Amino acid sequence: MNKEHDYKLNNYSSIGINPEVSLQMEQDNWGLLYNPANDSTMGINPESIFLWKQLETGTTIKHLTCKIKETYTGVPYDIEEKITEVINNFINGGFAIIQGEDNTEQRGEI
Amino acid sequence: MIETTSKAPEYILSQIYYYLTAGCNLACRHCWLSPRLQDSTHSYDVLPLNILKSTIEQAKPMGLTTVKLTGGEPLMHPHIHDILNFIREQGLILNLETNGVLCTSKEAAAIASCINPFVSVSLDGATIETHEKNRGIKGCFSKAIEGILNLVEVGIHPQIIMTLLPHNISEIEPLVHLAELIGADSVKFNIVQPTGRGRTLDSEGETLSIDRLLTLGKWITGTLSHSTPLILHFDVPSAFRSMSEIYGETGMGCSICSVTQIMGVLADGSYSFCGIGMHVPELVFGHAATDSLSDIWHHHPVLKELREGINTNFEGICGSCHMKRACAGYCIAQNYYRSRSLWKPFWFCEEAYKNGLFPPSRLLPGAITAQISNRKN
Repeated sequence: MNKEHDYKLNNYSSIGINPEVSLQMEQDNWGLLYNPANDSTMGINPESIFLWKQLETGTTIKHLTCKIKETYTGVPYDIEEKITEVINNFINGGFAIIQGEDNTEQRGEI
Repeated sequence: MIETTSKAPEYILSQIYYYLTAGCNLACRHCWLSPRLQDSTHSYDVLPLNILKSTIEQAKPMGLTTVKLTGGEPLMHPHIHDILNFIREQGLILNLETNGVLCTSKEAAAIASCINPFVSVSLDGATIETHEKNRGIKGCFSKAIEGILNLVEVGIHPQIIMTLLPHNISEIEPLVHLAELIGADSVKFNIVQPTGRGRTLDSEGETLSIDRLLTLGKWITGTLSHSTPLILHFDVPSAFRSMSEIYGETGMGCSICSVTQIMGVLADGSYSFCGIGMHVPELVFGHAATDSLSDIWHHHPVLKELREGINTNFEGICGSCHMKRACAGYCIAQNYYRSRSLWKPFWFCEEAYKNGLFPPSRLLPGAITAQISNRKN
């Protein structure tokens, strides 16, 4: 759970990376996230690295879903759930944070 | 995506390793347990059947799901059929490590009657000369092959285990092809542990350098594995394996020391982490004939120290490795044997780090700089 705020993750939550976290890329295009605050490491596959890169500039689940559909072919029908699971793992490990609600998206302004 | 940080641990006793016989019918040069050679004139302790039964009965309510039978040589045990029957009746998964020599069709059928049997058979070469040079007994190669064929005949496709040594590495590829031919499922490549007879081999310079092992590993997993339908597993600490090899769709998981979930029972009935109690008396926790397994599991000071420190106390390179919680020192028993501390690093990782061969992406930030500085010096 996000420690600083009481936001709950939903499709319009604005999510960003924890700036203390580093991403170390490996030769097989997987990567390692490291959070020095809690000395925890997470191994992530290339698809999760793609999501992580989107988080670097702040985004929402809704936006990530669109981005994945634009970028990849054969995207599974339940992609939004899968993305939510990955993002929840990022947040629960302190790697990413919920910054607030993106009301512009909810109002359909993008 | 896999988080390598452990959650709040629950210490379930999921597996018991039974070292069924103190003797062995082979005399392998690298064996870390170094059992004595048993023949028609010499015989040694075997685990009493009633102790095996009583420990299984005690362990089931503690979460036991799997039993590993090893040795010495488990198939030498005079009550091996009763043991296999009991394991089956108790609904436990069987994991068997054997040299294959005594695996007749009768033994193979008894093994096959167990639940999900996983069997590994040692073959240290693709030829009689190479295998028997390492195993020390004439005739053991053809008997091991026969044993494997008996297993395949009853539907068990075993894992072949090859221990890598300077004299057998030219037979890695032929061994993989032999394994295919005789119906194995996978081949696992082990490095020699500098414990027991392995320690003697190491001190005599008859083991492979870290550099050579890493080069071989890269070739096995990166090239040879694409030329065979068999699964090839190069068994080194997780820091030296790619993330996709560990966690990918066909990944084999991390190589973690499972000491927090297992208990070893030696042939004399002693409890230990694993077989390490044969070498290190202070890692014998009690005796199955007199001590309650539950008491030992929950209250023995060494096990308590281990659980309290396993997420935080690793020292040296193990403390500076991203994979520390997915590896847990790789083999705490080996680490203790060498240093008399639970928290000292695994020798392979330590040597690799000193030689600038530790994968930089697996090092915590401070340790990367230190390794570069080591290499320059």
